[in-house]
Amino acid sequence: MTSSPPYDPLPVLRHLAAAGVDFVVIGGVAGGAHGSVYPTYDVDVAYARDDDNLERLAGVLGELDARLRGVPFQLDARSLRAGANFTFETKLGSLDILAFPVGAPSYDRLKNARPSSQMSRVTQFALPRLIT
Amino acid sequence: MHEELVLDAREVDYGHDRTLYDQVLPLSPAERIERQAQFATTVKRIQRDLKPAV
Repeated sequence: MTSSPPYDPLPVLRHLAAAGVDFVVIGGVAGGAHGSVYPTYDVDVAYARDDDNLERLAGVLGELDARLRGVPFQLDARSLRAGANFTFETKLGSLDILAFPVGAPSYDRLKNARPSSQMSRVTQFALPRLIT
Repeated sequence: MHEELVLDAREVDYGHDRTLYDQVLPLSPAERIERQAQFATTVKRIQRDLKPAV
């Protein structure tokens, strides 16, 4: 029987941060950072949609051997530009990237709303109201 | 009517286990995520172990 790797959201976030991807952690991990006791099994991030960021994001997804869950996908910035919300399976676990999270404000507002105390560049966290 | 008005206040039960929050909130955000990740890993392991061998 094969064993699944331990769930750890930080390695994939470190990859994104190291590549300079402009992103904000949302969803269950953000909730957990704020004190939620609800479990999560993936990583959700909102991301900036400018061309440079899409290039950086596509590069990281390629490094992580990201595959869309369920359908074939040409992984590059152009494909990311053509879509918005993607659910990937990577070698470091599940990663969902959301351009327009339901109920969320614009990315700029989301990014500026993150708390700064005790939060490193790797662990940026959005408003708890994003947790659905 | 002759009814006596009594004002009362009771705690609303939202279904949250406060004892869990008591454990989590003193932790730093990084420690909370680590705890959350350990829990998720444990659940995944239990789910895997419960699957019948094929």
